[in-house]
Amino acid sequence: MPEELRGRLTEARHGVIGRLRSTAREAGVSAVLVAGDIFDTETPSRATVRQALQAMAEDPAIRWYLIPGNHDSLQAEELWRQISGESPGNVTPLQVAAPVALDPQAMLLPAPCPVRRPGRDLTEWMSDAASPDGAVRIGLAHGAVRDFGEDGARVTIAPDRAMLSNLDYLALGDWHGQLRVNERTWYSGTPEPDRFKHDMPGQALVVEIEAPGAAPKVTPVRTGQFLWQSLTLDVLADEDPAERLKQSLDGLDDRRNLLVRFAAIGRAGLESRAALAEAAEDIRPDFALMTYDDGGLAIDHNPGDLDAIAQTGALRQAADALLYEAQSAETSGEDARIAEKALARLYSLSLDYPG
Amino acid sequence: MKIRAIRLWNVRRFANRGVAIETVGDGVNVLTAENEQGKSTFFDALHALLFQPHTGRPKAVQMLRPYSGGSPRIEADIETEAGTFRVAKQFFARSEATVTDLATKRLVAQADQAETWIEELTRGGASGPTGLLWVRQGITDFESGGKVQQDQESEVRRDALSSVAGEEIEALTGGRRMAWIIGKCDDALEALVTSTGQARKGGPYAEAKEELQALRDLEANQIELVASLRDALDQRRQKRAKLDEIMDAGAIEERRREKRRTAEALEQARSHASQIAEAGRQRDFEAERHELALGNLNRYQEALGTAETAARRLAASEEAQGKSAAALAFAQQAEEDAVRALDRAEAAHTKARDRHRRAEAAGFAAEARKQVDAIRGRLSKAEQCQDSIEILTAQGQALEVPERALADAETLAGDVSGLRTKLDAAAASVTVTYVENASGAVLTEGGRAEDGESFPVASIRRFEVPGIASLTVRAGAGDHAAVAESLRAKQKALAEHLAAFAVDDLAALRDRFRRFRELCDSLKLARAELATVAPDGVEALRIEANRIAGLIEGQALETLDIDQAARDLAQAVEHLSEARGIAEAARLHLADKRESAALDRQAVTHQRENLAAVEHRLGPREQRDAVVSRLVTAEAEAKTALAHAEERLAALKAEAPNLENAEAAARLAASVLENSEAMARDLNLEINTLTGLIQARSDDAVEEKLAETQDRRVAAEARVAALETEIAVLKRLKLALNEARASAREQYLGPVMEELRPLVSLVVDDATITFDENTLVPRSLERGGQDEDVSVLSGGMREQLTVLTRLAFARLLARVGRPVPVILDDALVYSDDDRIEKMFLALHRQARDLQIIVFSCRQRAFQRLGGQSLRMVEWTPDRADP
Repeated sequence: MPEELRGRLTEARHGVIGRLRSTAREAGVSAVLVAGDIFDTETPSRATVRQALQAMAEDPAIRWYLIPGNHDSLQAEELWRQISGESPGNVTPLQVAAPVALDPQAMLLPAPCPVRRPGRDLTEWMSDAASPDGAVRIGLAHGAVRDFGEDGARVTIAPDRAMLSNLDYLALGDWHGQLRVNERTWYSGTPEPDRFKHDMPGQALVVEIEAPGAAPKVTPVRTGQFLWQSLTLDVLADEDPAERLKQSLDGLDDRRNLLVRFAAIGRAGLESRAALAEAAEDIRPDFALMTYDDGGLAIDHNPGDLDAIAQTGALRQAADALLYEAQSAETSGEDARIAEKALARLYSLSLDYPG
Repeated sequence: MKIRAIRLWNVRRFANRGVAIETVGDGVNVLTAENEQGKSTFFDALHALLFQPHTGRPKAVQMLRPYSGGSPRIEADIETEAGTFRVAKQFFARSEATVTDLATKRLVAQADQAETWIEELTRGGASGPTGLLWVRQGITDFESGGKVQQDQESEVRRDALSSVAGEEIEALTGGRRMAWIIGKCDDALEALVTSTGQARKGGPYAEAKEELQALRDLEANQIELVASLRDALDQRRQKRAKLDEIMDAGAIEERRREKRRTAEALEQARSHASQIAEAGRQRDFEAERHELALGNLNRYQEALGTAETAARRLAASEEAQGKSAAALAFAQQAEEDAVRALDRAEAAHTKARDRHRRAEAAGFAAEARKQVDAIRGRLSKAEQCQDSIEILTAQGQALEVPERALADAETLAGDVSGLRTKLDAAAASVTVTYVENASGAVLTEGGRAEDGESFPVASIRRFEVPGIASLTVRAGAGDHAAVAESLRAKQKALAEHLAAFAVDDLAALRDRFRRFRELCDSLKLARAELATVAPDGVEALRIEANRIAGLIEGQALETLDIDQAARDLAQAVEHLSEARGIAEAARLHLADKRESAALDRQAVTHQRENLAAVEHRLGPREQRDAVVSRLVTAEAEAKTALAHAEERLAALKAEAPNLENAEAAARLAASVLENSEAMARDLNLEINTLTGLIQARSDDAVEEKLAETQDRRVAAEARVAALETEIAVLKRLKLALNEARASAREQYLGPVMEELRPLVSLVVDDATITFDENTLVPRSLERGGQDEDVSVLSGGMREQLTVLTRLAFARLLARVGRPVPVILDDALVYSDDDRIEKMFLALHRQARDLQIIVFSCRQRAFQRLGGQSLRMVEWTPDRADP
């Protein structure tokens, strides 16, 4: 990844606080709940922490409530000491599982992560947490509601925690993509992604709750600058792959802030394959980053392709040998892949020959 | 295409005249002529006819022009599949080019059309590659001529091979496109890796690998930093927890309270311990006092007993002293007796020893006298033998007859006897036979001849018949006389031989020899006897006799019994030994008694002193009972006081607290307090240190940097993997291309190799030619396992290879129906005679369906080439411009 892009991505991650602030202001929101993993590590540099807090402080009307996640759990004492010590007045770090009044009508029940792997459902306490009559109960937690591990041993947050603990809304963090668990439980997703994973833009949720017991109104809003997108182009032998590529990218605007991982699969003749590679190469400068992988694209044997290399003679003989090796069942997968690429290279070099 | 005739007019040395070679046939045609006869002129003219435009003035054309100028004209009759044509060109003035069909006499083409006709003939179409097949003098390679010509020739070779292979070489091998693609692969590979497959320094692959390695190193370093940071965080967390535990206010107060309590308990225990120590010291004092009183009493009572014992021992010692004095006196007497007995024994021993020595000396002297007598007897005998030897030696010298001399005499005597017998046998003889009762007798040489006696007559013998006659009988001359002369000579020699030994006849000589041998035997006996009696000589025997006699000289004759003397001596020795033992025993016994007596005296003195001392300590006897009573009372008082002291001590001990426990408890409490404070200080220090480290690491954002490095490392790994795939793809492609090209090369070079192989084998055994793929000419010659570049071969070898290769290509062309002439102009100048003959064989081998025209100045060498002999003849053209 070019250094310049790396710098832009870093800056975008920092700038997302400002975008969240703007979004909140535009939505008339007074409290921003951050459900953990504010920082990727337990030991971010003092400058990173300081600058993040300064960004939050820029609009004192907006209050920020922060809980530790698994990446920046309370084990990161230094971090939380700094956050506690340096937080501006509109930022409230929540290090204790105890109710906090957002205002007289809203009670926040935070479940801070004490350690990276707590081994228990940190939201259980919310069931016993008292709140003033008529106050909206909002849970704020970090962790999974499903166990994606093979052994199934990981303790997860009860998906029906909102119902069990009489919560009007449970705001969850941990899952980088945005996810609705149920009517009252959402993962907001990361506001600025930093890798190819969910093929979603960075988002936040604007949640409105009219009254205790009322269904929350949840509105996803885009906050991310960069979009990380994985695209797979399944090519058929008789299609024009370059055209397919063009079509697949239609609608992808703001390409300067788009990182695309493009993989071609299926089958294509040598000519189509070369055309596709050329088309990919042609559009590459459009994007912040584009990778192209045609390793999954099998060669569809077209006699015309080999004729384009040579109809007879040694060149044709070499092409035939490579094609045979690429398609023979006796060839190992890696050798076949290499032979296939060698044939494609022979084809493109033949076309490039100036004579 | 075949050349049937070549004609020149006004060309070079043939100024204003014409010369022609007519009737050039199939197969090998040879024109041999000396230098400067115009062979090369024909070659150059033919070349110009076929390759130079008639309007041009290039150097090759100008060189054809004679010094006198004018227009050179060249004609050649050329046979093709379409017929036989006369091609003619005239250069310079009135230049022209014409092609005429000889069968119809029709002008087929002229001027530029004629040039086109010729060009098609020479470069393409059905006529073939002339340039390929022309070999000029001294040409040893295929690189002659300009680039255009080289390219043309190369093209022709390519064309020939394409014709044979049935496919264009360009297409077959991939040609320039293949070379370009391989070049691209090579360039791309070269940018990435070296020829050995190593990443090329400075190249993208090497840089990617270096970057990956650097990132891995960096990552490892950052992982360590992160690990140390996490470790520091864990440690600090643990230490803080511990510090909190230590610094709990309740815990601190409890530790302080415990320290005070244990200190007070310790103080009490120590006070009690002091009282116990004081009571113990009192007990010890009383015990000491009692012990002293008891000791005084015991010692006095013991002294009383000691006094009694001492008195008894003194009496016993005095008695023992008396006994030991008596024993000493007895021992002294015994010792004196033993000493005297020893003196006597020693005197007796001295006497016996002297007598024994004398007896030994007398015995020795007697034996020595016997020896002297015996030696003297032998000496006398030896002297006699010596005398006899001298006498016998003198006699022997007088009678000496060598055995040889006797043998010679025997021989001479035998000879005389033999000669005499022979003489007698040869001589006349007179036998006297008396008549009965004869009155007289026949006398001869003073004697009477007896009846029947025969008398030989060696020379003359006289017989007397007394009274009647005197008869002289002569033996006459002849052999008889010679024998007689030999006899006399032998007799004379014998007489002289005998006379030398002073004898008259052989018998006497034999007798003398016998006596001489007897003397010799006697002499031998005498010498043997002398050797027996005096083996070391008479003088040595005499010296030995005198030596022994000297030893006993002056000794008186004494008769002593040595055995008796020995027995007496042995007895004396025994007595002496016994006496010495008795004396030693007596001396020891006396010493023992003296020591016993001294000890007994000492014991008496000691007992007396002891008794006196004890008595002195006890004091007067009359006061002793009172003293005992006083000592008994004092001991009882001391014993009572001791019992009181022990009771008090026991009471104190029974109620004493455990001081060690109290001390340990106090130490423990103080230690706990101090340790907790020290631990708190240490923990604070360590926490501060860890905090500093954590702060530094956090400020460095090591975890963020690690995450970033890991992202970059993953990307670098992908980059290296992509480059490795690229290298594998390029290598695979290059391999496929090279394999295909090698296969194609086999296909198109096969025919010419097949043609060339038998030709080369005529010249060089077991050699293989390798062709350059671009120029299609021999590149190297492999023989005997060595691959030699053509450029380093000898001039002869290169020249032969050049000709043979052209012959091979010519055959290829002929095989595809495009026969072309091979023209050699002194092309074998570097070849030796042996090789040139092999080349002739090669020429004939290829000339089966080819036309080969050879120009050479080596008339003698090329006589063996055979083939059709060409000759130059005068010629005048139909049209010529002088």
